[in-house]
Amino acid sequence: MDLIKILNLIDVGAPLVTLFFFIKPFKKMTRELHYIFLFVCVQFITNLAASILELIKVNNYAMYAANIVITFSLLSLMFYSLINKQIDKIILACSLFFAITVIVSLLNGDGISYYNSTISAVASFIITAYCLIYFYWKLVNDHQSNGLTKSAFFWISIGLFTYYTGSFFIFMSYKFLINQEANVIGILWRFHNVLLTIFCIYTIYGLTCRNYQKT
Amino acid sequence: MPQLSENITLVLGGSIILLQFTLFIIMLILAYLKRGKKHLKEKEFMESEFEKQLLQSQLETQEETLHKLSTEIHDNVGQLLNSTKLLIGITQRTLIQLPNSIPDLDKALEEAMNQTDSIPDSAHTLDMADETLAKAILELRNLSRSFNKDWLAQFNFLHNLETEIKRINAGKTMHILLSGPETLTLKANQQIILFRIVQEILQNAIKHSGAKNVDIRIKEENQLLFISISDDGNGFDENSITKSMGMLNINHRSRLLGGTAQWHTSAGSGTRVTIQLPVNP
Repeated sequence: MDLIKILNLIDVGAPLVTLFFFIKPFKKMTRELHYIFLFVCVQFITNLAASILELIKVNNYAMYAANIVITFSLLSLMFYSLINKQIDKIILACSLFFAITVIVSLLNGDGISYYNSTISAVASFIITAYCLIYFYWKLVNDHQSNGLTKSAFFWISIGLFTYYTGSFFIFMSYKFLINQEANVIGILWRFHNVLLTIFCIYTIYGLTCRNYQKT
Repeated sequence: MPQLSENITLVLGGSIILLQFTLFIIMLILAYLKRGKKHLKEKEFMESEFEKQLLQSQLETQEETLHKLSTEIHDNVGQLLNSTKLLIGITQRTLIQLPNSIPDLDKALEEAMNQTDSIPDSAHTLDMADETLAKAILELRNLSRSFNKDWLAQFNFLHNLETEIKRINAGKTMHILLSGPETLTLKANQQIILFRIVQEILQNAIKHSGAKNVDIRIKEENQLLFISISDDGNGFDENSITKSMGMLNINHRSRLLGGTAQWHTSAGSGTRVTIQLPVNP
């Protein structure tokens, strides 16, 4: 059962450990990496707040909704400044679509009284698309792509890609399953926590690459 | 552990499949990058090989020109000087024999000698001209040999360098000191290229540095050959290194041998050139 406890808390522990790795290179980092730093901060704070609320038996869905909205905004800003200007419009269109989804969902009460699967799944889908666009752009259009594996961004993007792609089905089905099978749903969240840990490991590895520039 | 429902299994299965998909994409990206790196390395290798071949052909052309120059000096200018020396010799002998061969002129000649003292002077001048000519012939012969690749190939680098140093020291404008091992493990053709490098550095020192002393130190260590050539001349501004043709040649030749040549100098403080070459026994 210890493993289950660890897996339940790892969504707080892994971002916390990752934050320590940001301290040393913080001054050398570009603005885009500062967005990642904020992303990890948000993950840590919202997951911690959600865990505390769960302990005191208070509804914590708003924390997850806040998490997904803030992290999506941060990642959109990051990819907006990272990817070539020619595909900026795609990011703006996706952000607009996401904003409309959030407004509609909140008007329906999703994310406050219930877990908001819609915005989580949409955010997850869009960020996966951002990552794929980033990889494509780097590999096809960027002549410096040979040094990509030495770039912190490359590994962080791989972490984001793994986390959001792997979590897509979980986010999408969570609202439905929480009503149907509340007693066994914990395993899905633990799986999500493992994916978040994988993201953190990729981020830590990326931060040790010592190349904090955009490429 | 509670039994997993069909829905949970489906979601978990779907997530795992997506995770595998991400892994597959990551592997593809990494393989693509690895292939790109390999391609880049191959391109760099081919470029360096091309550059090497280009340098090799440039050096061969230079060697050919030097060889032609050497032949010209030996066969043409050398022969002309030899003929001139012969003529001076004949004139000297004629001058000595003249009083004996024409006894009737003895008296007249004696009178003329008493009057002007011009004949002993002329004989002395001819002696000096003969001596100078002999020196010039010897100098040209040595120069011709130092230009001739086939001649140099008969000896090793150190022997050729000693000869070159003797030739330069004989000019008395500069004194060169050599210290180093008795043999080198470089291949014969590499020794000639290395000789050309050192020759170029010494020529630069003679022409531009105004140095009185040059110190050449050679050392072989850990399969590396180190040559340091330092002079007490004027030195120069290090920024002008790329502008000199001779220095470019030295750099090219060093790179052709897989090594490097570096200049350490500043205006007014002499120059030290260090050459570092790999040695493959």
